[in-house]
Amino acid sequence: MADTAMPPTGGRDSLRRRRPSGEPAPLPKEPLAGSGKAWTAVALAVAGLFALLLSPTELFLGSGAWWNSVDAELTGWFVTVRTSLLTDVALVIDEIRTDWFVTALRWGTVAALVGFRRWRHLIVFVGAVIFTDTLVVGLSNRLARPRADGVEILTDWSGFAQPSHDAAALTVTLVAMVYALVVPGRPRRSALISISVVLTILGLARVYLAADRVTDYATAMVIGVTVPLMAYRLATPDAVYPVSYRRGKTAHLDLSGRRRAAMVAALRDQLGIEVAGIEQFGLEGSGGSTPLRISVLDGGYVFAKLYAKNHLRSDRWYKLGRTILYGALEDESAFRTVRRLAEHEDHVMRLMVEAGVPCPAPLGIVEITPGREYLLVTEFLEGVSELSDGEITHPTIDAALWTVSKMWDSGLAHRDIKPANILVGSERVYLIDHAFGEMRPSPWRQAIDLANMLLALSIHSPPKVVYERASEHFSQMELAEAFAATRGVTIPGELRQAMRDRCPEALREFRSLAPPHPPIRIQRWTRRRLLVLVVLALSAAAAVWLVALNRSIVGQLL
Amino acid sequence: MRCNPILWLVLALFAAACAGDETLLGPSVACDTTNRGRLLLFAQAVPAAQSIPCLGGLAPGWEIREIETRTGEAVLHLSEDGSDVEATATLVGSCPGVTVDADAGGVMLLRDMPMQGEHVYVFTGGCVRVSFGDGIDGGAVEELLGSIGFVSRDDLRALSGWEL
Repeated sequence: MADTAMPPTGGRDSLRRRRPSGEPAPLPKEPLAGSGKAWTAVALAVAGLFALLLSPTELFLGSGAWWNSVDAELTGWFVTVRTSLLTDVALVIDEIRTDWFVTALRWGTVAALVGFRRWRHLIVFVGAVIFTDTLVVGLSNRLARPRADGVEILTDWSGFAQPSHDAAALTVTLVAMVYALVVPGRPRRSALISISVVLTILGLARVYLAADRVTDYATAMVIGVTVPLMAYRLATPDAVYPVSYRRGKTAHLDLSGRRRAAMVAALRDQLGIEVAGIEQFGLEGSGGSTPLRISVLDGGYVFAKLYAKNHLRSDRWYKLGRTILYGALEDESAFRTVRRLAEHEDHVMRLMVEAGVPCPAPLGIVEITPGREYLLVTEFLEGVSELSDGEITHPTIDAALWTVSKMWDSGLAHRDIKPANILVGSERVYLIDHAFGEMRPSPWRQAIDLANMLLALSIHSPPKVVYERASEHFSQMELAEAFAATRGVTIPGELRQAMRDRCPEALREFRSLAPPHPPIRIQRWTRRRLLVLVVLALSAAAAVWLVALNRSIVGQLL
Repeated sequence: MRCNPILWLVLALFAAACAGDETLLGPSVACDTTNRGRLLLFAQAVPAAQSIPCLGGLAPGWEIREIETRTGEAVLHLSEDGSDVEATATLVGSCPGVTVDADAGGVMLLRDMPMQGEHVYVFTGGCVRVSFGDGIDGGAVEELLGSIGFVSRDDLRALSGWEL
């Protein structure tokens, strides 16, 4: 009889700790943390002021005359300290707000973002700039505040005074540039401080020249800071879309600071794992997650994959691309949440283990940020290496083919068989990375799994040898079907590249060994595929039409 | 009160008969001075101009599409609802080839050739060019011209309390 007595800790692992209701998650979502909250408060205050100024209220704070008197005193003081030297200096400083300089900064940023293929940041940059310029022009026309009275304005000006269009244009450009191009942390803080100094000096120069009054400039700065700050923090949070110039794939998230501490705490609390260290591992073969090797305090390792929203986005785009290229053959749909992504892979791995398909044992899912970041934790396989690095013997080939046949028998498919996902050790073969795994796959998908395994094995062994071994596990018609279904798009990119480098004729050779089989079409026209193509075409046409219609506006703003 | 454009035309013709190609206008249009911000900004754009253009109520179907002001120039862009027909009134410090007698005072209309499509109002310290886009008919031209008036800088100072 099993011992069912309660252990002294009350029936629960002593390391695990349930997070009570109300306690923040290991890495809470706080897009407007720190300065974001402060600027939001300031922006709301300014918005309230504008509302008062635009309203018919007679309160003195809403009366233009009161603000005029405050501004007049401040401007008047600056006029009293005018000298020809100071005027020359102020005019030089004022040059940085000119149209040509701001336009050059904007186009330079656009070019840099295109060069770095940082598309989301590019869209946010352009959107923030256009929104700010439109808002400022609209507000200034509505307020219709003239320039300073009774003082000589020593430089050129244009438009109504408040908010200052020149100040807002330069501020939004500089702040948006920093958020789009500068790495978060100390570099970004330093850049923002530098910008603040530059804008303060420009503000002093503008007030000295009487081109802007203090409130004109200040309100423009608040708008120019708040719009890009909120846009970037909400649309491209650093935790999900980090600005980084490290080599490597954008899927691989930064593991320093708060995220690392959150992972350590979450692994302890949720899985009872005491972490000694976390390092990135096996990055070359991964593109849809951040793979990690975690050393445990009492020895040994576990393996983990960190999933975040950028992986979800990659999954969506990947599946959309496949739908466009060859249709939704298997009614495939993108995951809606990061949680679902992690849950799916964990579930597939448990099915694989249950079916006897060799793969790492899943240990559970850890929540880092609710809805946003999860760790999928599995055992770490020691003494194995990727197929490309291991020794490929006949028993190894047999073991690899046996995994495919086991999946066929169990109604499972891996769907991403490539050398980086095949681990070899002691003539055992393990399949890893089951993110694309499927239950009850179509026959076509099963055939593709077999074909990709054969092609992966042929990188290190002659196709004739691989085919002979495969004939022991599969019928000739099954092998013929596998190669009849294979096209360029059905072969994972890494496997395609390896074949190009080492065995470009493998597929042709396999087809010559297998019995003839008519090609299996993979381009299927479905309602969904048609709809996606129509929507894409209409969106592209609408975008071109909008740009053409507003090219003068876009040209002026940029 | 909007000036009857026919009466204005008659007066203009009479004045032209007496004074050659120049026509002296009085403040024949009662300007809408509630949008003081715009008037003050126009006055600041051309500091020497002693008369500031204003609108006495736009012709039906017309609206202000855009206002541009910068050092030395102020432009009112007007457009007709639902069409591409437009007009602009530009205040500048001087118009090429035009001089004004400092003692003339008031606002003088320089009658131009009809095919040039432009009317020029000249006054001490500045001038206003009113031009019309393609497709505008004569009736609309007269209506628009009838809605343009001028307020003197002194009157604007008195109204606003600004030094200007």
